[in-house]
Amino acid sequence: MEPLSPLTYARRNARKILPTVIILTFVVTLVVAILATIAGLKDSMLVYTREFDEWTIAYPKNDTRLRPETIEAIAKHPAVLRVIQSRHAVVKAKSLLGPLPFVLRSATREEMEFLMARVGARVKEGALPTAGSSEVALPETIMKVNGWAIGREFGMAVDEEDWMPGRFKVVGVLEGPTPLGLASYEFLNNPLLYAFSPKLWERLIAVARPGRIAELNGFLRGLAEIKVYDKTRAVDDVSQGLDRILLVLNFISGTLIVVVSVVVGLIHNIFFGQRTDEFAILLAIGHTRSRLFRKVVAETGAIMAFSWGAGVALAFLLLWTFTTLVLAPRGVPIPIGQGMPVLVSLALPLVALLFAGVTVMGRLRKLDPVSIIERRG
Amino acid sequence: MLAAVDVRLTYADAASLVHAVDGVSLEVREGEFVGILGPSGSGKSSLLYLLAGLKPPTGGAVRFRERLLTSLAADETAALRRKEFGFIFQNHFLIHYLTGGENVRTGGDGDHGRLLEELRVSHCRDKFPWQMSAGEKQRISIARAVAHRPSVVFADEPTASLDRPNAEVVVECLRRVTKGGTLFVVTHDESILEGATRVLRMQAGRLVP
Repeated sequence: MEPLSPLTYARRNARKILPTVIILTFVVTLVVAILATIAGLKDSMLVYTREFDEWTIAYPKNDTRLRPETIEAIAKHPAVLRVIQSRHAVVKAKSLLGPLPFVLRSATREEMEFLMARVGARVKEGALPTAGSSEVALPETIMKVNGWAIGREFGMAVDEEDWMPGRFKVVGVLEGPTPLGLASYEFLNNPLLYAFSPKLWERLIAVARPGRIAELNGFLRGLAEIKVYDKTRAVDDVSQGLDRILLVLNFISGTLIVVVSVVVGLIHNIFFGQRTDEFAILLAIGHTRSRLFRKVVAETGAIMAFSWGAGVALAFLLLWTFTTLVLAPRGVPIPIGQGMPVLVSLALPLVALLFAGVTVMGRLRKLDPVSIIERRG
Repeated sequence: MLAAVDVRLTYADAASLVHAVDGVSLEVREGEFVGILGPSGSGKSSLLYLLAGLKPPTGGAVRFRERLLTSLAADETAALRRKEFGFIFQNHFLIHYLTGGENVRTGGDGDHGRLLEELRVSHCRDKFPWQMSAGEKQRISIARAVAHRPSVVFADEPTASLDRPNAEVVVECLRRVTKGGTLFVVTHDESILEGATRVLRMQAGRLVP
């Protein structure tokens, strides 16, 4: 083994480098775990916006219903494959951030199958709602977060705090990459059976032809008498709150990175001070300052790389355990293999290496081997 | 081969200017064994550091094979030391986390196994410095100094920290492994200069007859 290699130094001085390794590993773990959890939560919520890759919702601006000519104009647009008249209905879904609305799409049986085919959804368990009934089919993630099973009844008739008027029953569980919840259009369109109200908030599902959703959205936004709820708005709704939390956490992580980097750099500087004899003799016997600087940077870099790798691995292990045991059973499966938190955490070893490198370079430049040799005699 | 022309080393201490080396001139030929004697503070070690390019002189010039050491950049001087010079100090200055064999390898490439045998420290090849005796450590430092077969070896009081028997072994080893090469030995102990081709005496930074 090369005597002056970083590996030789690390192996023979394990106890000395351990504090640095421990500090750096735990801080990297902390940064990656926190950022990945928040970013993962956002990603897991953005899943609910996937349906808007296929369609956009149009609804009246100053009325409860869309004018027939408006519906006809939308249906005739070349980017539109099909329009489906729907009604607004919202299921109260539990989340780590409190109750969130999950919007059901009401449709006829044939339209339900069309929508399911469009987003790749399948009936995993039970059946689709019967026409004219107060039955619903929900995505398995919503079933999990709410802790529900088929046969579950909900609505204001069951719980006054619920957001759905009347009484509904879950008859089917849907699976697929895009969460989709379905209810009977015939039932929701009947004010006497459903809301006991003449106000039936109309929602038109404008399904785009493949690859033409942007064109469709552009067209819909140009129509003065409607409001548009598309992917952009859906993503904004999900992101707003979480982006503020992410901003705060990024600030905390940034501060942590700077403070820990300086601490690690200082610890390294102290260790360098303890190795003055070693560098003095190496300089005296003809090792150049630049070579010694490269040696210190390589040693520090190896320690930083190892600690960072260990920190990232530990963070993923923790996240995997947390997701598997805690979040997934509650319907919030966080994607753990995210790049952003790992990239952010990379700043930690890099800044520490930079700090250590700059200070050591200054000390090496001033190091006079003769004065050390004379002092140690 | 190695020449000093009116070389000086002056520095300021708290009260006055100190002339550690005060106008020394000498020329040493290839293969010479030069002893430098003198009382403490006479400038012996300082002269050695100037000749070896470890310190730049404040006046005069040092030439090695027609190269002016003072005109070389720091890295060039270091490269010259690494290729042509070997150093032995009073303190062994072995790197504590390297074994005897590894410490020798920091001096340069060469037949380290044979060298350790020659110095009778092959058993220290895998020992760490703290597992060796004082004499063994000093012999390992000699091996490090001559590992790359340097043209000139500078030894600064190599036996000062050793007891008599150890000092004799170290001197005997030093002579053996530097045989035929140029050797400078700074010492208080005249007895280790037996066989020297020239003995220089220093007092107050000057060479005295």
